[in-house]
Amino acid sequence: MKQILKIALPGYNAETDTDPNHFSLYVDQQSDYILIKEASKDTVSVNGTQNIAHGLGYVPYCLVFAETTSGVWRKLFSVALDTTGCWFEVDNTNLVLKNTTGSAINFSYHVFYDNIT
Amino acid sequence: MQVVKVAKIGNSTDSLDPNDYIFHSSYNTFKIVLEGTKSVTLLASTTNQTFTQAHGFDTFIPLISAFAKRDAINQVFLPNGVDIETYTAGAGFDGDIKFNYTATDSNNMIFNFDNNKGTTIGVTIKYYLLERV
Repeated sequence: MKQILKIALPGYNAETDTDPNHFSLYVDQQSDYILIKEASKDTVSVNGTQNIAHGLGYVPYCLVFAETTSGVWRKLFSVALDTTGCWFEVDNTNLVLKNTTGSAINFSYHVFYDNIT
Repeated sequence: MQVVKVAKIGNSTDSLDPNDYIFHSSYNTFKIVLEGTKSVTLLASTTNQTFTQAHGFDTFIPLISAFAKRDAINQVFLPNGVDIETYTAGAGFDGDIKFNYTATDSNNMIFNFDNNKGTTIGVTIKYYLLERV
């Protein structure tokens, strides 16, 4: 028998509603609704390349943001088309933060336990 | 320590691998603090078009993830990417609409586009704000 754990958002009935968007928590052992599990996070100043050893032994899901101007945090992807000169890569060992602008920029990174390979 | 955990079918609740769980209360799960859509009209033949919308969070800067979809076209495209209209082997892809980036500051969500077409283009942005940067 499936084990189900659900917590409905206000205004919805957890016993009868079946839309996962109406729940703050909806787990049923079968569908992984991207309940990403956070392993580590930090903000670091990067100028050039900086390796963040994640210690997981596989490629984890990561989110990375760069403070491109003071107080403005831009979501980063792989090699940038957006001319920021900032991007990130991730492998079995490291989250690699890249800043090719020549000036230090703050990066906020989030590493999750979720294995994406 | 008391924990609440739900293992994926076929995995033991004694597993030490977080990937074996749909939910485990020992690990923070990212929360969506706000989601919604924003419709914008891109000016013709204009690059670096910025659109903002207040997010309403006074005490922190939230993370943002966003997707864009041109009106009347079903495919979505991500920031740092283009809306691929045609693809030809050898010639590669062609996309005149580019979603340059998405960002947040203490007050706003920020979306930036290029439109290299000679006509205005309607775009709907789906955004998700997550926890603090």
